[in-house]
Amino acid sequence: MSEGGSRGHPAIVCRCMDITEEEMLMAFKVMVRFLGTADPDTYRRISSATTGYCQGRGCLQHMQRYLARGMRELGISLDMDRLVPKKRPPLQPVPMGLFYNPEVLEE
Amino acid sequence: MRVVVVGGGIVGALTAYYLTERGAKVTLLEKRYFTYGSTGRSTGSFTAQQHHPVLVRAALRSIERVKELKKRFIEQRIPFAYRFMDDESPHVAIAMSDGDAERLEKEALIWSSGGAEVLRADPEKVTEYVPFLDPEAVRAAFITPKDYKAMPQPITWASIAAARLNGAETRTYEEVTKIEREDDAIAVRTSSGRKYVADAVVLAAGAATPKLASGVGDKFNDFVKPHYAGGLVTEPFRYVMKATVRVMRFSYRFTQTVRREFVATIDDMGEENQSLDVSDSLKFIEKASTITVKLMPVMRAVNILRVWGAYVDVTADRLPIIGWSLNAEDAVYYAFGFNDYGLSTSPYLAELIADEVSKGVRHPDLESFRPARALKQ
Repeated sequence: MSEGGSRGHPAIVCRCMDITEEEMLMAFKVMVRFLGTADPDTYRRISSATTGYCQGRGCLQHMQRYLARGMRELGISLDMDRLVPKKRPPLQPVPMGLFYNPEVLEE
Repeated sequence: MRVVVVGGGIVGALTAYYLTERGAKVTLLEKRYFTYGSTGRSTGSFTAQQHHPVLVRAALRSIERVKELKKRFIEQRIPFAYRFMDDESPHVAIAMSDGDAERLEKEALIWSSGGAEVLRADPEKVTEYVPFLDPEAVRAAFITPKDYKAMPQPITWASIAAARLNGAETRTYEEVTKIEREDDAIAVRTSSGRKYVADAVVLAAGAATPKLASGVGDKFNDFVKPHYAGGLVTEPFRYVMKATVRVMRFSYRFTQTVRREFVATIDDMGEENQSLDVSDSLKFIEKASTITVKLMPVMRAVNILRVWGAYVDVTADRLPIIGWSLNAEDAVYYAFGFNDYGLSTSPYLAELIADEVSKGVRHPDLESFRPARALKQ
């Protein structure tokens, strides 16, 4: 696990949303303390990790490791299925115009 | 008084909080994760654009309540409270056809009769509120300028956090399987094998409530039907859009969140969704994209990052179901059927619900919502 970035700069966990390691650790603490839960769907929404342009390609694994480590430290048993938030389309960003189809609006 | 609240969406969260404020010992149970259901899947609107004057008033009072709660929760240092209500957001209801325009005119009368400030706007005026709008796509429009927008998760989380600070117990991934009388109390059993004992159970599980209700002998299935819904979110853009656009005919809502991404939802695709399926669908993407591009042609170049499916509980008269069970009087209390306006109206209504449950009173504002009208006898 990272101990902070290089030359005093913070380690960036989610590059799309600029989320640092400190923010990931804080988000985990907030989730557990204020909501009493530790699930990936809540974790990604509180931390904002995986919600940016690449939709988690760069940071999902990191988020999962922070989640797993945090749960282990709390002594909560880990169900591996529970580490994965729901995958959604599109596979990559797609312009809205591609789906334009006036027929669907006919009454 | 021990109360178990079933459902971790906005209604359950606020009800749990208000109950703890009234001294109840509360346990909140959520089958999956908080806001998993309808709450977490729509754009966050606080709008007076409701189809019944009682709901219009509930929405106006809810906006006031939310401002008070935000202040209170910030004082309690609850982290999500800063995002309780994101921004002022005039809601612009647009009619895209002449038929729509006639219906919209009637709806707007209901909003003003309920006390909302309503402006009629010609297509040119609408472009002041909605950037990139093509005025040719608009037949008529009405605006409620005093509405707000928010992301539903922070407000739900803050309410849950506040309830926990007041001593509530909360559990996620805890599915209720059985509710039954046990001696002088009620036992709520879950799929994890736990049992919770309470003096009253509030069923605030949205579209999942009818299934729980039939376990207690109340059959809502003819009156409440879950419908498919969906949402999409785009790449971020410079913050240009304060307003929220609505097209009633399609249950369509569109705005830009304070995270700067655009979000478009259709809160009722018009088809039943009994299995509470939340799969994404091409049909939804086409509909939401087409309406968006028709209204704001430049949006055709904006990239969609994520699409999701959803469900919404549609009641036959589009009013919520609030009140004690007929079969399990004083034991089971219903708070569901909020269609697409749960966020808009529950900050006010949930407080009345907490009063009825904890004090045994009956609030006049809830009389139109009683379960009797919705139950198969």
